Amino acid sequence: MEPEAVIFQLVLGVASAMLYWIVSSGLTFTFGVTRVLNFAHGAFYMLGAYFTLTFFDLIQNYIASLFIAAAFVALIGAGCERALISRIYGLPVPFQLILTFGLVLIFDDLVKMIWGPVPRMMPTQFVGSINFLGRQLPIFSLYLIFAGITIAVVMYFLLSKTDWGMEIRAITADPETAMCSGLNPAYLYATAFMFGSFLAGLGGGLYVPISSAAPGMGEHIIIYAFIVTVIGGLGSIKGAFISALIIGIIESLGALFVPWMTIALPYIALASVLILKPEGIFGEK
Amino acid sequence: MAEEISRRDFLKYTAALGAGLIIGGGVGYSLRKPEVQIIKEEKPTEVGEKLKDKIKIGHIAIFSGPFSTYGELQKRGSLLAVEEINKAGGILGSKVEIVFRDSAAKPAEAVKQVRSLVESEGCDFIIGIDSSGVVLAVAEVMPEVNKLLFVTHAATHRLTEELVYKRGIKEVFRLTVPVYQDGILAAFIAAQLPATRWAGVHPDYEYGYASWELFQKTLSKLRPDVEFVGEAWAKIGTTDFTPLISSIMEKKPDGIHTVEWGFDLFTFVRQAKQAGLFDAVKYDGGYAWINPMGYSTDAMETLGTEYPEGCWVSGRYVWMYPNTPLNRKFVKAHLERWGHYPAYSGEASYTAVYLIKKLIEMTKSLDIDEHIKTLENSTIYSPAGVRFIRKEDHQAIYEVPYGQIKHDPNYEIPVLTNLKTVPAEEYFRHPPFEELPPYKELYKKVLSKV
Repeated sequence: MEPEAVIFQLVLGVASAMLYWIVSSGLTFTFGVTRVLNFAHGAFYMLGAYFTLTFFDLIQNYIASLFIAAAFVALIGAGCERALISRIYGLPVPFQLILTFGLVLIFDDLVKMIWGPVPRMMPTQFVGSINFLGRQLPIFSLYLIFAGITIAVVMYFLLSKTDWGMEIRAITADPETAMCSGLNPAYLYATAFMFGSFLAGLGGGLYVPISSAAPGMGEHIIIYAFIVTVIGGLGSIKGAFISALIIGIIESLGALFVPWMTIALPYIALASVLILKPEGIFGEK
Repeated sequence: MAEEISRRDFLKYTAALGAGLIIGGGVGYSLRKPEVQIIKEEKPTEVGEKLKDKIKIGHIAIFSGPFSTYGELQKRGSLLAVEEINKAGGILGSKVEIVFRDSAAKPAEAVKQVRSLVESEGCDFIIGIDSSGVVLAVAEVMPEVNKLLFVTHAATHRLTEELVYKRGIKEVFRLTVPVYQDGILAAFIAAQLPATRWAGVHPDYEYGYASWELFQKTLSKLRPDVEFVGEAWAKIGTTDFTPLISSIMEKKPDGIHTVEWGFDLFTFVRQAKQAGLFDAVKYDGGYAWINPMGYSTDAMETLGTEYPEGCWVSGRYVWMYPNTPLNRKFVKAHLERWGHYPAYSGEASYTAVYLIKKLIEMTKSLDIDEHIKTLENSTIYSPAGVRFIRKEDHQAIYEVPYGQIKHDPNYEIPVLTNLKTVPAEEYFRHPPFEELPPYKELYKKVLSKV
């Protein structure tokens, strides 16, 4: 095996990892703040994909469509949080799962009613490839890496440098003290959920031009997002980033060296982490 | 490479196809007229001998989750047939009612739905079933609920070879082509192309393994000079195929066999295009790219012109073949009713409902033993062509062509040109299912039709 082949595969693994990261970031953030395991995160991702292609049809500008779509998803997320999810804070986990899974079914059927049962596509936005180590590296792989890193940087800035971010961190670390100091939990939970939904919508919108939008498309990615989140530590954003990289890279190298067992690798990683450090790499006990 | 066959040879061969069916059909067939003629409705059936107030059909397919597209595609076919039949007076004067249930792609859920459809809804027949895993579980309970199941999508050969033929579950019939289409016939097409270094990119489950294995076995017999240089296994719902594509491209293939389908196929084709995989398998006459389910309606509607012209694709029925009045009528009715071309599972569901009608009219009963006796070794005229129901494994035998994608502005979806197939009786595996079919001189006979 040429060393170039391995390096090339590594770069592709990082690109694959970025989509896992983008979807997991919102999931783990929402969980960290609200302690709700949101199954509907995948449905928001799907809505992001459909909204993006629909807005693109209307305005023919991908970047604008992407952000308008994510903003719409954020509003829907906030609506769900106020109307439904806020009622189950503090209740046992099964309530969260039943409620959020119910939302998944509702959104899946709505999507079929609005856009039809057959998946939809929007035009490719990232045509061609560059020559890298004598191999063709698709432009869209570079774009995934760019998008993933940008989201990581923006999240870091938002959470560490803004008032909202500090309040979010305060209520995450110690809800009671935070409330005693006058923070409004309803506002913070709603905005946190909204931001998590925004990230889900952004993920779907970033993904749609390199694949398509389909009813139920979120159900595949959400399983991966859960694996990433658990390996990284539930609620840990840094953990999600590192763990997405681990999954993306082992899958990619696995395809080169052990193609017959690629599918098992993320689960082996998950099992290993659960045995060695059950709370996840960056999780709290 | 491909042999051009004159029209006369083609006609001769079509006749031989008929002969093949008769021989395959066993003793005495030639003395009988085809008994099950579905769809040819000259007159409304006589009223007065109603067997039941309503004939009820339970249709189980995937209606939720990432594969719910497939339930909808089936529903279009069966509902169209039910509407047509009821408009024309029903079955022996009884109205037909169809009840749709969601299998959610889960074996246990589908089994529960079968019981509920039979026991609570009082359904007389069950049709549908999308996934291989689900169909194997459902087939097991059919003797117990004592109803017939017409499978209209799931493709594992284990259903008919093991459950029906070896284990004797006689209540199950499959109207669609099993993986013989995806593995064996695919290899016949591959054998005609210049490529000698084939690689596989497949979904990581039963259907992928079975197709790839049959493809390799068949192609190495037809073309001892080919090599199989690599394989990549994609999980269902793969978001990024590029690591798989690059791992395959390291092996320098000049031909790709892929049984990816649905959402994963769309992702794969789009990303393969940017990663240069199509360029790697280009030859003078197109791409040495064989994708058995590539002409599925959902794939053509979604991918459209993104799917490069010249790739070899098929389905378990493609709407332009055969060019018979019956098929043209069906395609037209489907387009008028739904605004879409029929999917293969839609055609099979449509045929299943009409087959039920014909069965009841012929036997004037709902006795399933009589139905089984009537169906075994019978010939069905259906939109997909002549289907012969083999007694041993209850598999409908009919041919489906492969063709090359062409973007024709006169059609809403890409069309197929350069259609090629082999008589079904030749490429379908035969009881006792131990060896691959006898290929003999078959390669020379591969048809070439336009």
